[in-house]
Amino acid sequence: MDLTQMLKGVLPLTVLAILAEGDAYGYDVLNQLRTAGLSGVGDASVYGSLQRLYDAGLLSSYMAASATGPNRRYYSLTTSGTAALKQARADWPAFRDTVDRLLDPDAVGA
Amino acid sequence: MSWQRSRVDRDELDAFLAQVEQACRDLPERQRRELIAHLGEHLREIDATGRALKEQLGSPEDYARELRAAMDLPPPLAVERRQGRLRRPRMAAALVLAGVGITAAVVVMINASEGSAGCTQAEIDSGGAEARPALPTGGAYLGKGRWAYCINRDGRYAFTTDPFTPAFPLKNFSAAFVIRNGKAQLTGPHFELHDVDRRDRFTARITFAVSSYSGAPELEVTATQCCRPRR
Repeated sequence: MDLTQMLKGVLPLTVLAILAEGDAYGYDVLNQLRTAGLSGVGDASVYGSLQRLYDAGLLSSYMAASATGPNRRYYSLTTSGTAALKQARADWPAFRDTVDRLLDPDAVGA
Repeated sequence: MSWQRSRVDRDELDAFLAQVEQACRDLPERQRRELIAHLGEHLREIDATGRALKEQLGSPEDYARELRAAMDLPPPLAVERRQGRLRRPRMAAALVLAGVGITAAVVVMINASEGSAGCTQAEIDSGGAEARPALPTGGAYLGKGRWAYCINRDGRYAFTTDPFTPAFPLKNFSAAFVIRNGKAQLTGPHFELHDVDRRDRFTARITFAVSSYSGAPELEVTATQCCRPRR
C-alpha cells in the first residue's frame, strides 16, 4: 500500500504534536518530521496540513523576525488544538493496537 | 548565519505561486489569497542552493495536488468536472469541526401549540413546518431568520439551513433564541455544519429540544459568526 496514504491520516496529529513542543514555522515543522523519521513527507503535505489545521481553528499564526532572512510565520496550538491533540493521544493506543492485531494476528498480545 | 543563503528566485517563486493558485481557484477568494500568501512566505524559506524550485518541489501542478489532498480538498481535475453538476452534501466538515468547538447561535420561531398561526393540520401532525433559512455570507454577522415550527409535542426539533458561505476559519459561531407569543422551555441549540462543496458553502443543521410549552410560542433564531481572530 502507498505509504503516503497512511501518512495522510496521521500527519495532522504529528504536526500538532510537534507544535505542542513549541511554536514553529513551516519549514521547521517539515524538518522536524523528516528528522524524526518521516523522511518521505512532502513539503506540500506539511504545508497543506498546517493550513487545514489553521482553517479549522486548531492553530493560530504570527510573524516573527528571522536572523537569516525574511520574517517567518510561526504556528502555535490554540486551545482547540491542544484539546484535539489530547483527544488524539488518548485515542491513538487503542487504534494502533487494533491495526496491529489486524495486520498480524499471531504476533500481538494473544 | 547570513543573508547569503541562496534564496529562491523571486520571479520563479511568483510563477510557481500563480500556478498553484490557478489550481485552487475554486476556493473562496479570501481563503485562497491567504493560502497563497502564506505559501509564499513558506517557500521563501527554502534554501535553493542554486537548484530550481521545481527540482525541489516538483511541478506546481503536482504540488497543488498534494497540497489539496492534505487539505482534504478534491483534486483540481475533480473540481473542473464538478462544474455544472449538482453538488452533493458532504459530512467532511464534521471531523474538522469536532476540534473547533463551535458555539452556535440561532433564533427560531415556534409557532402554535394548537395549530394556530399558519400551520396546517398536516404540519402539526407531522411535527412542524420547516422553512429553510439562508444564512448570508460571513463577516461579523451571518444573518437572522425566522423559522416557524408547529409544535405538537415535546422533544427534539431540527432544521437545516440553505447553503451559506461562512468566514474561515470555521469558528466563532453563536446563536440566540428569542421566544415570542407564548412560553417554551428549550435546550440548545446544537449546531452541526456540513460542507456542501468542500469548504466553499456549508449548511448548518440546528437542533433544539422543547421540554414544555404553552400558548403559541414563536421562536426566533439569530445566527452569527463573529470576529475572525488575529495575531
